[in-house]
Amino acid sequence: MFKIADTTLPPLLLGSGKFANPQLMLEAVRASGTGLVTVALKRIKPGQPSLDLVTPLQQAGIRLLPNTSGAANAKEAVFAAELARELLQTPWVKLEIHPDARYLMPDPEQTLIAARQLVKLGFVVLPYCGADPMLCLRLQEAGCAAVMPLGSAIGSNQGLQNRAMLEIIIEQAQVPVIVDAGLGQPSHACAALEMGAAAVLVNTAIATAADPVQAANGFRLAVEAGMAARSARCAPPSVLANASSPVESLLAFLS
Amino acid sequence: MSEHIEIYLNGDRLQVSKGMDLLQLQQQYAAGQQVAIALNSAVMPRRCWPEQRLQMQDQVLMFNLVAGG
Repeated sequence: MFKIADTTLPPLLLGSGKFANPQLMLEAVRASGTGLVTVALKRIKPGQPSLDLVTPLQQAGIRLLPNTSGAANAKEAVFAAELARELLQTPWVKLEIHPDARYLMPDPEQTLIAARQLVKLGFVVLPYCGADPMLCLRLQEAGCAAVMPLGSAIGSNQGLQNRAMLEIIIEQAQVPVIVDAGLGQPSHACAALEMGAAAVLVNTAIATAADPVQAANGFRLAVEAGMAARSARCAPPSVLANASSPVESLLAFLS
Repeated sequence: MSEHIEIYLNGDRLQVSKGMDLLQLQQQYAAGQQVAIALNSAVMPRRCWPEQRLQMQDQVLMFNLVAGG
């Protein structure tokens, strides 16, 4: 478990996108054991009904974290956050600014500008960012409640492509580090927790799995394994062998 | 005098009844949905919707929550 503001959460957060249908999404959310699910904002199509994603999740006791996906700059992100706060009556926001449609890399400059503004406006800011240790320090200094460095590109399933940087970020963090984006297998999530991350956020790997409910279960077990590994503090790697059984010659005395 | 005015809702031009307020607009075009509304770039708290009468050429943005990561 980890804490954001005054709320304790399990270390697996889920995105709600890309599921085949809302019922499957709900089942995967339940299987994951998560306490926090991200949602996005979209302009309505006037006169057309839309699926109610919010009520089933809220009835299941899941906290919703609105993101600012679609914002191209800090101004749009702040606007989106204000809309989301009004809609959900929560000051929590996942700050996401990725104007580049090909790689969806977060814009570091605009993210920092928006983070500073949003903190001043009373938001609990969880910024999605690159695995940049300096940027993460600045986001913490700005008052963000966590930092969310990417493992790899959104939806890429490439896993932890920036391990060295993530280790530095975790070492220097004064707020929870939530590894977000690109986690493709439960083992990636386990490695992130083992490394010291407070949590991970997973969407594509679960939603697009052949069996999303089993995938969610796998990620849940993986974060538990990662936390267990971290608290167990297993011995570090060694270049030399270290025998597990007696190595004295068993029958040398016969020769 | 016309009983209707022209506004913009999510970029689309609309003719609405003169004197319509934001709550009525939401009920007409997003009935039953949880939405957030911005009027001329300002986010409008829900408690203000019944009092906020639409004016000619108002730009209204209406958002709901959808799946996202």
